[in-house]
Amino acid sequence: MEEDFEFVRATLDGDFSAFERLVDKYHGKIYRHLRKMVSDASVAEDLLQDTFLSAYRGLQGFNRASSFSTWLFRIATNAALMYLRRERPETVEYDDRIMSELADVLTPSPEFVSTPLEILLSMEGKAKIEQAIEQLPVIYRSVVILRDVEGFSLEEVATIVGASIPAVKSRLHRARNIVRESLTSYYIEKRSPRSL
Amino acid sequence: MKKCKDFCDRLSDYLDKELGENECILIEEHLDNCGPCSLIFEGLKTTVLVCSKGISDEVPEEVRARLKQFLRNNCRTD
Repeated sequence: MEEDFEFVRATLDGDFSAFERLVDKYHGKIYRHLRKMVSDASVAEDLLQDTFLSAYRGLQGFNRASSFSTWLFRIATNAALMYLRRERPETVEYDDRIMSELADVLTPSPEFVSTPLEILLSMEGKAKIEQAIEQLPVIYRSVVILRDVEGFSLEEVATIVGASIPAVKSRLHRARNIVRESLTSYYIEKRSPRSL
Repeated sequence: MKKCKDFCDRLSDYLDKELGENECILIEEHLDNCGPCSLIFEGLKTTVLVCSKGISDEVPEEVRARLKQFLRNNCRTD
């Protein structure tokens, strides 16, 4: 984190290569986040470029109230949400009550939890995880990606998405259960005699 | 008397270590004695684990190259 602050300071002093070090360090995570947020690869690339350009132009306003990565993810998340609200508003709207009811359907599954990790993380398994996350409403998708994929704390996720910590916890609870249900159904189906 | 659903509603927070000691003890006691809830909790843990490991952050080389060129063109002229 201190290293990031040094790069920020050097960039502000006119050392563009210091900014490129920050780009090298974070562009993979930001791209992954944007790909999951908007799905479309070319849109994600445009937003990736916009995110780093906005960060560069706004660097003077970065005040160390958060880590550089939290600040950067906030810029990227806002860019993605602005894009989605403008181009695909139906993907941003969601019915909290319906999502709550969906998350209340809990299926205990020995098939899923007993599946070896190497199968869960095989090419097919990874595709299923990505699909399950992509099917979430974007508001829920963002908290799962930030918390469970990127490993931000709940406080950091709240800062990035501009929501309260209780709201983040509630969305995370529902989102995780929806992803779990999706994976559970998949592995039950996969292990059923008919699929053998 | 709490129902299974009340416990399941707290499992995500439990996983994130967001609950107090007393509530953790109640949940652990319930999980020890309730097979279905225990499976749901294991499923939730597995879900979080595979999300953390199952998604690549590799960027296609051409995307990386275009990003660097874009920034060189637009940042340095500011």
